[in-house]
Amino acid sequence: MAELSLEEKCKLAAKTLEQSPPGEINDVINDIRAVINDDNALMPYVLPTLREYNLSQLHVIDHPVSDGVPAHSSILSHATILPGTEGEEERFVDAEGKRSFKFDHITLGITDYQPYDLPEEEETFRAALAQSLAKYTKNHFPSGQSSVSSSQYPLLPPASAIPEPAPDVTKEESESEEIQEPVTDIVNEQVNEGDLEPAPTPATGDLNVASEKDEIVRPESLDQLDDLVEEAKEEEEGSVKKESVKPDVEEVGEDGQEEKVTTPRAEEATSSALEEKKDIVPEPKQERVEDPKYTLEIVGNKYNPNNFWTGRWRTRWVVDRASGTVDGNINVDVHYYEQGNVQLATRHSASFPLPVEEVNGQTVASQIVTTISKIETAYHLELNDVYGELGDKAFRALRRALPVTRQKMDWEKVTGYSLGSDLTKARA
Amino acid sequence: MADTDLTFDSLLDLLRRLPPTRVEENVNSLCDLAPEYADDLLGNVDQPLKVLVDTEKGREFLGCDYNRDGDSFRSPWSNNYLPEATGGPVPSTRLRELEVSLNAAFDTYREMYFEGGTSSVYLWDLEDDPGQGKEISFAGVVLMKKVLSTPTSDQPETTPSGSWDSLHVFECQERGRSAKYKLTSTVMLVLETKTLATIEGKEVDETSKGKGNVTLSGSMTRQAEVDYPLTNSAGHIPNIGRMVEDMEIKMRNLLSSVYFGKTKDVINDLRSQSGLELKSKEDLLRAELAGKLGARKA
Repeated sequence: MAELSLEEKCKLAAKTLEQSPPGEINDVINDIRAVINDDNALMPYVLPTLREYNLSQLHVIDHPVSDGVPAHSSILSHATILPGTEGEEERFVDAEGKRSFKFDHITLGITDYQPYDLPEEEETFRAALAQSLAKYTKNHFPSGQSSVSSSQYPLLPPASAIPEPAPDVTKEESESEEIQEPVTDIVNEQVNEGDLEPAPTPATGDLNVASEKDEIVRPESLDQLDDLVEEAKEEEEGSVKKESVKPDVEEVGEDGQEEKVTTPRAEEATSSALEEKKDIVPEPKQERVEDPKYTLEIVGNKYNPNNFWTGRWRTRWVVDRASGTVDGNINVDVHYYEQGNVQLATRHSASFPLPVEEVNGQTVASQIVTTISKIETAYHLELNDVYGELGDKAFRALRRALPVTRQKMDWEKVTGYSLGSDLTKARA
Repeated sequence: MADTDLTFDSLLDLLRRLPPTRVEENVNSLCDLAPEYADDLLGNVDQPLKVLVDTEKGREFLGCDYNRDGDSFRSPWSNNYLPEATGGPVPSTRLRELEVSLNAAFDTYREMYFEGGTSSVYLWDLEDDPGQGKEISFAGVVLMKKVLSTPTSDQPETTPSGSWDSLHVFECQERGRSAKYKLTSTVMLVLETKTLATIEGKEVDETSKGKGNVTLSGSMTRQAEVDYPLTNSAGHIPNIGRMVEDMEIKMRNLLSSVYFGKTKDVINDLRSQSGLELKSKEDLLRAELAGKLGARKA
């Protein structure tokens, strides 16, 4: 077998990153770096994999206090990509802070905050969902972070940012906005993934407690890679996947069907000034999605490397008005690695019809989250039952704790009846 | 040298972290990444045992790195390398005799504990001219495998499936009227089942439906050293038998506590089933209502 080229090796190595257990991505990266031993060659391949990992694993970002926005956290995911951005220009939405930002997947640093404003209708519904979901998350996930995103395009920045005369519509929305100075260079505060987690809790099992020190701390050597980031980014361009959650986009002006596009199907329609749009403007124009999707995400992480375990619960529910459904996926991953490597991986999908109207004073948003809560609790209960099923039935069917006789083997007897004359003699 | 050791440590560390369900694929990848360590990796990382058939004897046997020569594996029943005779190493006559006896003994053990499955025992000499001295040293491996196949159509969808693979690698040094055994045991256990999470409560729409699966997989390794009396070479059989039996019982308990205890505890650490605000239902309802009012104002 011919030895692989360095390039092929780097590709192969980057692939193993995707399989990294919760909270151990840095350990896996460092192992791979030691094996490849050529960061310059490796990093261009690691970057796109890291991006995908951060997005699919719902990486939690802590935003420090800035420009009057209090410190808070947001989630990185496919759903929080700023609609219309990709490649090197890719930005992520911090809906609570009403900002978008650029993210460096290697240093985990945030740069270039920009204002982000949804049209009022979308923001109202999104905020209602976010409030209910945060409540549910707080009650059920001790270290949980929740996020609700809308696939709707944000409002264009105020007129001053646009060379052409801005359409009237944006003026109406502009009362809230001044252009924010971009916030840069908080990289050093963000590099330690472990910081995002609460203090380790002691393992509750009865196994030996190891004294090894925290393994999750991001080695400072990764910081030295900062200068590689730029070239790595160039490599990334073109290999970035199209985001899959973006719904079909109908661009106003191209099909000439303004009425259809701008008439919200949903019940909470507020008259939007956007309907006034008339001309095909070649310069930046307000894009709209007809039935924007709302994605509700929760991630709960617990990392306890001192006791050799990590865990992550991920939840993603997509509210789709067009199809009238709410579809969800729940993933639970647990890694236990004291003198071994044991992993629990669960995948569960579910869906329910989208509530259409207020019932007994309960808003649609609240009904959605209530149903999510019920389904997740039912799933959680089922998981606990599954343990009984697997432990009592399957495990016993594989290997009994003791033979039917309820006694250990009589090895002298076994050798007696199954062996040849030589051994029979030996017993005599 | 330090560097190369670090590389090998990194390879092993990766395999300690990557999903056990993909261990074969990952070992192959790592062998491609670091071909200079391929042999060490294959010798140090336990992979699921292969079930092979000795057609001449009409029996299944197990393949692992210890009875492998190229692409062929030695059958404990015929002592031949299959499917292609390779002229690979075979144990000395004296050791082969013991191997035959151990295979018979562990076949009984397998039936009593596993009620099915496959077992194989392989021995190899640790001396240059085996059979010359009175006291011998040798090594061996006891293999057990059992598979629960995925549910058939007439079984409930949620019937679990899984597999057990155990490898007990040992070295034995005879010392006068006793023998010293060093044992390293690894059990690979996979358990899988489907989930439905149907909600029977009437408040939730009947069309709510769900499906998914749960996989618990992994391996654990433990070591032990024992000294047993030894009056003649046949004494190895009960000695090795007891040693392996005790270790499997211990590991089964360990696996049970990790698979069904530890990982379950972590899930319940990640999410609180009853809610962190442990209040009466009425309180929760009130809080929910308040939340709704707040949401409407926003």
